[in-house]
Amino acid sequence: MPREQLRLVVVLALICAVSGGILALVNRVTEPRIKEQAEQAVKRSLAFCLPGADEFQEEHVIPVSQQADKEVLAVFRGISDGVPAGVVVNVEVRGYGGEVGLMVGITEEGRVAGIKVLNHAETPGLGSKITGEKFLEQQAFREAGLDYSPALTQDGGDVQAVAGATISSRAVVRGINRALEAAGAVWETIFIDSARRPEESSQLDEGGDREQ
Amino acid sequence: MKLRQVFANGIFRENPIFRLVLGMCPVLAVSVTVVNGLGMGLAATFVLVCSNLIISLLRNVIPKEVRIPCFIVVVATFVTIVDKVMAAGVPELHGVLGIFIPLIVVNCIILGRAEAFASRNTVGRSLFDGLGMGLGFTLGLILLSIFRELLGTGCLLVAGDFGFSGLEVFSESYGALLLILPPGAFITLGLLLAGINWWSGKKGEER
Repeated sequence: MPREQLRLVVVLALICAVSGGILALVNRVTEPRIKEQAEQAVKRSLAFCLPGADEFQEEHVIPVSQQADKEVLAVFRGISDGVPAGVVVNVEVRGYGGEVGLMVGITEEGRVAGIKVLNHAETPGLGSKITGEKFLEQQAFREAGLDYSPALTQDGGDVQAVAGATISSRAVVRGINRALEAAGAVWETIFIDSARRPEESSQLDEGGDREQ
Repeated sequence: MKLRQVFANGIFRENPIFRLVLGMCPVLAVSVTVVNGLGMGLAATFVLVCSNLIISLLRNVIPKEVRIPCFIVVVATFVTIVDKVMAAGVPELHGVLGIFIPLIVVNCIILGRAEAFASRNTVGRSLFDGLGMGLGFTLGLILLSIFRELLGTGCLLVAGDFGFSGLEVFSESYGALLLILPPGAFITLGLLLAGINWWSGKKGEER
């Protein structure tokens, strides 16, 4: 190979090698922090959705496996002082611009305690308002629970949709209903398995009745 | 050209957005809010300054036959660094700009400055060119997003991911929604370009 051509190969290879080395270094430094940030973000969302609990445990069996569309991603058990304090469900539903990831917390009384939009690709300024307090903190969601599925006003419920973003709003409502279904399905396992004292198991029966 | 002129050149005379009309993909996409525009502009400025620096340092080493692959490797390296560091340090902003950061690699401004300036000029001048072009890009993005965010939503500087609800200038119900949708990006950019061309044409006539 002529010298000049060899030079081309060597220079490009050197530049690539140095770049690779630098990137490996950067990755080593940032990787643990990125992981930590992601874990903390999950913890923050869990704590936000179920303020009463101080510890969260992922339920390994996703109970709603009968769902073909796999909208329920994970179910967490919220624990306060060693006893179950509620359930947090991570769901992903189809919105207007893509998947909408939601975290929904349900207290041991079966009420929705907190809703958080984790990720979405809705239209900025329109559908993106589903993340805002004005939408998520409305009274209709506070009243939702295992015995009462929320629905938009358009669909006969009393959830006020974000103006001009019915599809995005409906996606959130659907996500909450999926979360409630998932919570309903694990309800007995979580609250029976851990309930040793009689008064707690009677509480559970009430919860079971409400479901119907 | 003096260093000061090299710097100012990127901001005014050869502003990447309004004069060179380069890097339109991120410009149109992220100029929805001022904060996004600022974040994207600063990230691109960092990559531009770093790649200009390295490429002008290596300008006598890189053979001209393989200069484009070399430039791309250098640019891609810095983009990946920005991507990783942002994900680790400011995950909220990274969440918003996530998909646009890797696109800086193919931002024509950066490759364009590497080819047109950094590979032919000294390190000092290339640094100033990178800074000027980067700031020009950032200011252009901010100008565009001020119009879109303000007229589209009635608010300014909304940064929900950072817990800042922004300044409400007028009620949201009077906002022109079209401006924050993709067509609004084209319309606003077109009007701004027309305005700037008209203004500079007028200035030229007077002379």
